[in-house]
Amino acid sequence: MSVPAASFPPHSLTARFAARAARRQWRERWLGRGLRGLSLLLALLLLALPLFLLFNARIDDAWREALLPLLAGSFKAALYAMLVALPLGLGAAIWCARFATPGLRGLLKPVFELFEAVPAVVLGLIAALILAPWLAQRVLGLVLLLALLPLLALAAGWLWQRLAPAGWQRFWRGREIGLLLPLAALLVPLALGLGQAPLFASFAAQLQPASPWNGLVIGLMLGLATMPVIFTLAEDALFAVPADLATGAQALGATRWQALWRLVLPVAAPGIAAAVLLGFSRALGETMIVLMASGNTPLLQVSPLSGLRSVAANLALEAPDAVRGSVHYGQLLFSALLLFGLCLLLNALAEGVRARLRQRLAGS
Amino acid sequence: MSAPAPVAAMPGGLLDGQELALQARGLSLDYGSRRALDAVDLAVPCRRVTALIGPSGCGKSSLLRCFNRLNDEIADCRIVGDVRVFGADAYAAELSLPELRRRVGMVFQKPNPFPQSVSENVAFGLRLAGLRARLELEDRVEAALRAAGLWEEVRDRLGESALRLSAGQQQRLVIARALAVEPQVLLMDEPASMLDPISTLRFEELVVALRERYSVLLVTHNMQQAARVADYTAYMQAGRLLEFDTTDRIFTNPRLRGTEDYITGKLARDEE
Amino acid sequence: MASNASRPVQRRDLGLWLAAAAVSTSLLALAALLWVLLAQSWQAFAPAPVALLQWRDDAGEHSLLASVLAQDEQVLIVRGSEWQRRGDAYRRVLRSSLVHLSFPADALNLRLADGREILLRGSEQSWRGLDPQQRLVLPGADGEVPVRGADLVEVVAVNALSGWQRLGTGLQRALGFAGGTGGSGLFAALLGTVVLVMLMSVLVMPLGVLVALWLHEYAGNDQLARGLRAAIANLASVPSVIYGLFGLVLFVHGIGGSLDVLLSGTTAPVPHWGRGGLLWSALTLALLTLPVVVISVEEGLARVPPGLRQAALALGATRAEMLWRVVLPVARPALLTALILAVARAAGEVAPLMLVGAVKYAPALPLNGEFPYLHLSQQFMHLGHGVYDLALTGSDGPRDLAQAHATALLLLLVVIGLNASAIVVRNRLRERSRELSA
Ligand SMILES: Nc1ncnc2c1ncn2[C@@H]1O[C@H](COP(=O)(O)OP(=O)(O)OP(=O)(O)O)[C@@H](O)[C@H]1O
Ligand SMILES: [Mg+2]
Repeated sequence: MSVPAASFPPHSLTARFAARAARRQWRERWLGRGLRGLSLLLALLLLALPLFLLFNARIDDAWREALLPLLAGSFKAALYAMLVALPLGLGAAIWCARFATPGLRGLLKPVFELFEAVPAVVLGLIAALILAPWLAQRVLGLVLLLALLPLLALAAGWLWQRLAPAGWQRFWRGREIGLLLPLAALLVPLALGLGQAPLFASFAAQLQPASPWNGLVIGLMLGLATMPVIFTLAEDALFAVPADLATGAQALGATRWQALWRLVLPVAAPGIAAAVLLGFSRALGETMIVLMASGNTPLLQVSPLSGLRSVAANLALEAPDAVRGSVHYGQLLFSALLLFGLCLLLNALAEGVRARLRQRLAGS
Repeated sequence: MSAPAPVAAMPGGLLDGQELALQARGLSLDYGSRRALDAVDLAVPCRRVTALIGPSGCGKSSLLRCFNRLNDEIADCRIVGDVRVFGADAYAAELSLPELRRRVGMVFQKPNPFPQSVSENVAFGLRLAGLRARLELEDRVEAALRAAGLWEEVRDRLGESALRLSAGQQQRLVIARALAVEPQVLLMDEPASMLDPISTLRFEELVVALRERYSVLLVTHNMQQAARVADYTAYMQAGRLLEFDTTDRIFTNPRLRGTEDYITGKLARDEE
Repeated sequence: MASNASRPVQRRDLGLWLAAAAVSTSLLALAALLWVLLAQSWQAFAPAPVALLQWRDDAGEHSLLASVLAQDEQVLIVRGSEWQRRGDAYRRVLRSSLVHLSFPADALNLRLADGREILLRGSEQSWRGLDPQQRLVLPGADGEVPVRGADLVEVVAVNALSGWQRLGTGLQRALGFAGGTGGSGLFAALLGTVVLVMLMSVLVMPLGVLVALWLHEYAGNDQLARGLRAAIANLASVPSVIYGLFGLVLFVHGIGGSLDVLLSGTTAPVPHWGRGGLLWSALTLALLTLPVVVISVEEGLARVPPGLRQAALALGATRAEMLWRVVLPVARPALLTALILAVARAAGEVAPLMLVGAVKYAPALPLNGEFPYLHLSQQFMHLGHGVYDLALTGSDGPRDLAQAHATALLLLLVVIGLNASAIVVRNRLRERSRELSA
């Protein structure tokens, strides 16, 4: 220490600090090094994981044949799930971020966040044991329900805006779901009953699935499971768009929907695209729901009424019994590598798109 | 080693013969490409209060942080020039940073007590020295609180969370915390800006009392405060140290127009 | 025209009703899921009414005392007394063949420790308070079944129960099921889950916190830090079953296999470490939850007010001392949030565990009184895995399926409870950091 101690009356603490200085410095240095070493180790481990898969993976022609239906099954499950998750997730995100009252938003957002945490095995259980046998008899009813629901919403909205007194409209502004919920709840038994009406018996027979455990069930349940993923990400992106953008437009006479469509959505588009990509990646890799409710038959059929077997479910079924080092083992690892790569790719894409969003928000 | 700096401390021979606590020569500082300090020369005499005044953003805090090297924490901050603490190079390679910072205590604009009890706050630095004995800790905590003029108010509340104290008490607690590690210099960065008038008065009395043992470098936007407590006053503008003199002379007869404008003309606007 | 002018803003604003429909549909679906789970779980424990049935078919006329499990216009699904084995007395009875159907008030439902249910008529009192050692003989239809008093766990006069009593009995059974150690109890699975998750926390928390500390406090922006950040961010998007495979290949076969060879000295040892087990499962889950921990700890560190850091440094604290004495204590709620989120994530994962050690039935508990108390290499039972097993491979159809739902409900409650508490803690933390920096 080159600070001259004599220039000032010696302090009693100075000696104590001096006595500990070496030890403190040593500790400081080694903590930094230790943390760095630990992080390096972790980085190596994370790097080693895919490499391990790569070195053990194997592929031959026969297996390529077998792999195709699995891949097709994964994509079929994920695509049907997206058909459900996209409208639900994006619609709910749009509603929550831009239309709902703050109180309602504060209520809905945690509900969907908690829904995201529901273990997949629970959803798989309900899909396999309850939904599948129930739905097997009611495919037509479901189709009717899905067709009628948006129509009902539009009709209700049109009538409401036409006929309801202005005071009511003002009160329910931002709370429209309160009006729609009971209507939708009423529509469900109606549509299902209609689907079972004797009049449509021949239609219903055509829609009879080959097995209760099929793409339709997977689409519904996996879609529900993916919906909150898309919801949270898209809602964040939409909510981050400054509010004055939309209110300014509304002041100029645009409706709330027009303001959203023309101004907010274009700004938030990258965030929404990222949400969709990540949701798709999640659906692609989801295991338990597909494992329990898809029937696990490796079919190459597009029809939602037939079963499927996905790469992930196949891993869960076959890997525990695969003999280490065998050809089958290598093949399973290959399929896992494929799935891994796909998910990484989707994630990287989403990350890239999201970076664009951040730039755009910073620029605006 | 112990000789005071032989070169002329400040132009005009103002501090000649005085022992210097802090000294900066040709000190320039850049945040990335933005220059915050430009060739600053400043000397802070021992056991005196030196006030540093100047318009907002002129680099007062940046200059203060050079003396205890808190600027090292800012990633893109680069420093050129000579900084000495009691004659020793503060940026020497072999210097122990914790020891330097212990000797050069700092009080921030916003009181920032740790979310711990009052006595734990004061004991923080003592524990760094390895003090464990309860009696000694208690003695030193009491001494520091007394020196900061807070003891009478908190003697029954030592176990309470420091965040429950009033802003003025918190500021004095933070001073006590700095005094407990026995610094030689105190850097104070607008310490009274968040205090009410009565707390401010008490604080000023405290600064005058501290002058007995410590060298104080005080940044303030309050001209009367500078006039009341400081022996010397330095005026900064746009990263340059323009004028340094005894407080009397600065306030009655400044050499530069800028200084005079700032002290008189801007007085009303700056004092909030 | 006038009406248009008076309400111009509302006119083509129909799109938002579609968005509202999406919210309504999602909420309805959520409610339906919850309702199904609750209703099905209740099925597992509700005392079913006991009927006296007489019916005629080709083989002649039959008479049976049986629990009525389900019924519609055409058939009754009933379960008679399980004299021999659990799950062997289900029957479908056509309504058209019924001669007599009544619900006698003195019908009793006895439950034995092995899960069998016996139906009798008689007085409840005479079956209560039996000497545990006393052997008694149940008058069975297929001969007489010897039972000890201790085997009798429940006697209920089912048909005489009031609504509240039914609820009470159901809840009591549910509690017994959740804590039960017998063939049909959840205790083993619950303990397995808890031990697994605790072990995982012990592994992931120090690692996650230290790595987050390094990333946030030391690393700056160097190559390693950027690489590690990217790896961790990508790790979060990897499907969980792939983690299972990582665990299988790296931990079970790689490390475990080599350990076996080392310990036994032969090249083809009996797998001990080289098969799925508690430790490997915990490590796998630790890897799976690492991104959660690192990301939320980093967020917590970023929320520590910079004024506190500067204060500590200005007092002469080294960086290590600042972190240990100021930053970490202030960030403690963030560490708690990280822990809760990790536990919630891990508690609900099943897919990876299927590859690295959860089994349908493990003969011994992972934590017991035998040295070394915690059996790291042992296979174990797990709640989530139990749901899967009961649902797909159960031997006693109706009962197992209902119990699968009950197990799922328990799992759901645990996970949702953990997540909700994480949300609460996080909100508190945000408020507090706002207070600290205000
Ligand atoms: N961490 C930093 N990074 C980049 N620029 C900074 C940083 N801190 C300060 N500056 C810039 O350096 C200049 C001087 O800042 P400084 O805080 O030293 O001024 P000041 O005189 O203390 O002002 P005030 O009276 O408002 O506290 C300002 O232009 C400021 O924007
Ligand atoms: Mg400042």
